[in-house]
Amino acid sequence: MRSSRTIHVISCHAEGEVGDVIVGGVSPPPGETIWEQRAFIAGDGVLRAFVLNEPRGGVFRHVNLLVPPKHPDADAAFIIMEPEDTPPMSGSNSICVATVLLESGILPMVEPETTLVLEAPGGLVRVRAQCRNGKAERISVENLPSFADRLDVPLEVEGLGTLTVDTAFGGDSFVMVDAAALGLSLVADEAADIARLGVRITDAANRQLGFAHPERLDWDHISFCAFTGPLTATAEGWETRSAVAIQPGKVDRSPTGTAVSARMAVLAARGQMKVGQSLLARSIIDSRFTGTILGETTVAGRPAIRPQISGQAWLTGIHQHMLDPTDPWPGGYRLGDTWGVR
Amino acid sequence: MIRVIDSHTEGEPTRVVIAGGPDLGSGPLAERARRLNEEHGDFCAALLREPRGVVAMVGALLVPPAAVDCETGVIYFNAAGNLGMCGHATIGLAVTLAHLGRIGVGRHRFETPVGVVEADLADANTVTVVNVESYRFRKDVAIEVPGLGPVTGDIAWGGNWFFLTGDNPVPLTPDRTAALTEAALAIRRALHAAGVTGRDGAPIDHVEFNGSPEGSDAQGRNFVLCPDDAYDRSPCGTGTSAKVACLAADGKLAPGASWVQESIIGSRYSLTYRPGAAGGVIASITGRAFVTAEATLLRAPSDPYRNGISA
Repeated sequence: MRSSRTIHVISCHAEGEVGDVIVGGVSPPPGETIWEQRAFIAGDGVLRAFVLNEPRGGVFRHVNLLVPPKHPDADAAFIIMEPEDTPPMSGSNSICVATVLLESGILPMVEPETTLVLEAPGGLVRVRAQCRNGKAERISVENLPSFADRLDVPLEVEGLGTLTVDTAFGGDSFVMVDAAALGLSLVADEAADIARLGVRITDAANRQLGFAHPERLDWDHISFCAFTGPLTATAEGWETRSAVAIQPGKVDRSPTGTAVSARMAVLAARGQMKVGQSLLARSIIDSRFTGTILGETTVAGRPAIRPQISGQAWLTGIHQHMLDPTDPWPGGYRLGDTWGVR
Repeated sequence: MIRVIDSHTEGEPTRVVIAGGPDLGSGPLAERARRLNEEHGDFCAALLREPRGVVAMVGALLVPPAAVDCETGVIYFNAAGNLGMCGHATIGLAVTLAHLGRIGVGRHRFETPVGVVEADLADANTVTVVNVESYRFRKDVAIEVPGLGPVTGDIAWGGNWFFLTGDNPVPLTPDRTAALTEAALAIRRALHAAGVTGRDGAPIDHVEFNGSPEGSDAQGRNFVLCPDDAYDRSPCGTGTSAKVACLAADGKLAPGASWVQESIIGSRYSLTYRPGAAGGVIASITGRAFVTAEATLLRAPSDPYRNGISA
């Protein structure tokens, strides 16, 4: 066997969205904080290329790197690698990370409920895992404080006219648009249209609206476009559909934890949701996350919510990624037919 | 638990199943391949589709050979179903078996559902595959393709059925893969609609655009659309065999002369041929493969996507 790199991965998906976890073979990147380590991974690009690009990866694959936590309260820390971004937080990825940590025995599982504190680049997230017979059956993640930024603002998108959109932060930054206004019902056969439109709307929102997190000044862009479905009242709050276009133009297979958090922040800002209420969101493949507003808080003096996201993840494999020293593509390759729809 | 070794051959991924595959019983390999296709489609989909597989990946299930002089039997499949013979996966298979210590440098025989193929392992990465006999079935077949107009090409067998054309809608460059994919799909639809087939009515499921190489030491460049609607990242071993069969039939390539074919990403195969018994060519394909992962795949009974996500 010849391999100049040996990276151990437990692969996983949360409600259909892949969130593989590197459990060994990569030394912690330099940095005093997880945020600084995140910046190194993003700027260096070598690990990202190896695990995300073809032939080892693909545009639908996200990979998380476990690193020793920096915060004294944290049980574990992770850096999220998405196709184009290395973001502060991700709902589906944090659910995958928690599931892998518990089901592979890296952290002890306590039945019927295990509580964990994970350190994401954007801050600490608290996790409750319902566990039975060695399986984490439901993961609830308290996401980063989430807030609405701008409500009901006009956005000019070439070919679409003037849309009315909201912008919000739910652990990542979103422009949010009413799906019905674009004639979309957020079902699987609209995936290519959603990806294409989402990239255009995100680009337009970055040019015309922009975003700056008041406490993380270097997170100064809108990452994603969330297409929001109509709301149906339930005993606990609301039910809806949700589809998110991720750069460079793919649709999240899960309902996107950060989008559900951002949506709840917008609904709270409009007085349509209050503490204790839930939002059940269905994805483009009909998988589900449940969002709950745990409480109110502030971010740099602005009203915000403490959102929780609940969903389930499943392990899909145990991998030892290798690099033959003579492999002509140590960083893999990206090709336009699968790498986004631009 | 399913044990697999992943590799890529000149950029094209292969996933060899070394343990945990379905029990296909005994008997002729073609019969066992039919059983895999008809009764174990979920298994094949689980390996190659999201969230466990990657785009363009070909699966190779190792099975006991029916022919006693073969190293192993192998059934190739992609996300759309079984493949008869697969050049890149045979190179990947040989490198994988060498990685496992099961074969060494030298010549080895593998049994596929469409016949025995020989692979010569030159070093840990370089393999020459002797393909099944390839031949041109029809020359200069003209079809009308909606959106493209008239397209003329040859129909040839290289272990799979190919429609080979030089009527390329756009240049064969990596930034045009989306347009090439759409054009190849349109041609395949037009072939099916017009009832144009291979021998005995076999459907033509591969479309190959041929053009000029970028490298001065190569002779051709191609773009091949496979039945799962993904294009081949490698120069496509069976597709280049079909190309060589057409060149030989036209008297443009002599036995023993080398033909270096570039893929759409610039990776290469080198081919030579000798005349076959039935009037076609026996092509030898030389390329390199690299192991990328050893893995165990899991399919939890409660996982809603245990058979992959079908979109």
